[in-house]
Amino acid sequence: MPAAHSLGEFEQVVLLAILRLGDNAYGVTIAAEINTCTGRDPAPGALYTTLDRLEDKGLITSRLGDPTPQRGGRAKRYFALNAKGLAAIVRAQQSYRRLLEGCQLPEVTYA
Amino acid sequence: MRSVHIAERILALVTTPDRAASTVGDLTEQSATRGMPWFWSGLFRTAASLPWRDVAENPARVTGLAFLCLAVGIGLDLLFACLTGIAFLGVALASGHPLHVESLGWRIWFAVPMLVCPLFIGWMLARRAPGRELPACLVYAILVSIYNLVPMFGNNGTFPNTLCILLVLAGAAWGRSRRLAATRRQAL
Repeated sequence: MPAAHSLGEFEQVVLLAILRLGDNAYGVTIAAEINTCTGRDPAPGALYTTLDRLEDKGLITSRLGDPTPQRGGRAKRYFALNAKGLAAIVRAQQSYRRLLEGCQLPEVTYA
Repeated sequence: MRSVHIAERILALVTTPDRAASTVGDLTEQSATRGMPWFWSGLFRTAASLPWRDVAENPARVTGLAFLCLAVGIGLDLLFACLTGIAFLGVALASGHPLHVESLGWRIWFAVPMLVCPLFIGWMLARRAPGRELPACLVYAILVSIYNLVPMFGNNGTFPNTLCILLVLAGAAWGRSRRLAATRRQAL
């Protein structure tokens, strides 16, 4: 895997959260999804810098939605994985899986 | 809410206006359950982390730009020194009297480049690092502060370093506002 496509742990978490959320992935829902699935409460600074970085790397795309009153009339920025992002997360997860093969970890099972 | 508009303006200093708006929108939405202290804490943590991300991810580019601007600043200083020498000589020859460098005219002559050069450098940073003006200014400020420690070359206290950096920031803000205005005109 080229170094340019290597993903950090939090980048993988964010990409997987976006993947899980589908069409409803924006800052608030991504943070909530990470919290639900991992128990982490990501700091806004960490989340938005990671989203910016992933977009700069060309792994995700973003589009502006419609403004809503509960957001003070500000639009949501929806994120979506593109083909490059999907390939990167698949490669990263395959690497983890290869590392886990043969390891005996309690309460960890791979389907 | 006025405070949210202020928050958006603060964040727009470190990212694009539409990103600032959507981020402030997210924080506003979450502040309904988490409260305003969380909103401001989130805002400042986001504003603090975005510029350093650019520096951390493109250290060579940002540092290279800061060095280029420092070189331009030194070049402008040298040009001004040459012009001052020529002006001194011209005035001395024309008047036939010793020069009074404490006079108002000479004070203006010395003050103008000290004000104009940092503004120009800030504008140049904004032109060369669109959307990433603040990280470029931060790295330039660090570089200039180190340069000013060199006794032979640096600013020896005649012109406060802080004021110089504020003028660089003002120049960058001017360059950024011009770029955003041009973008808005193109969008229309």
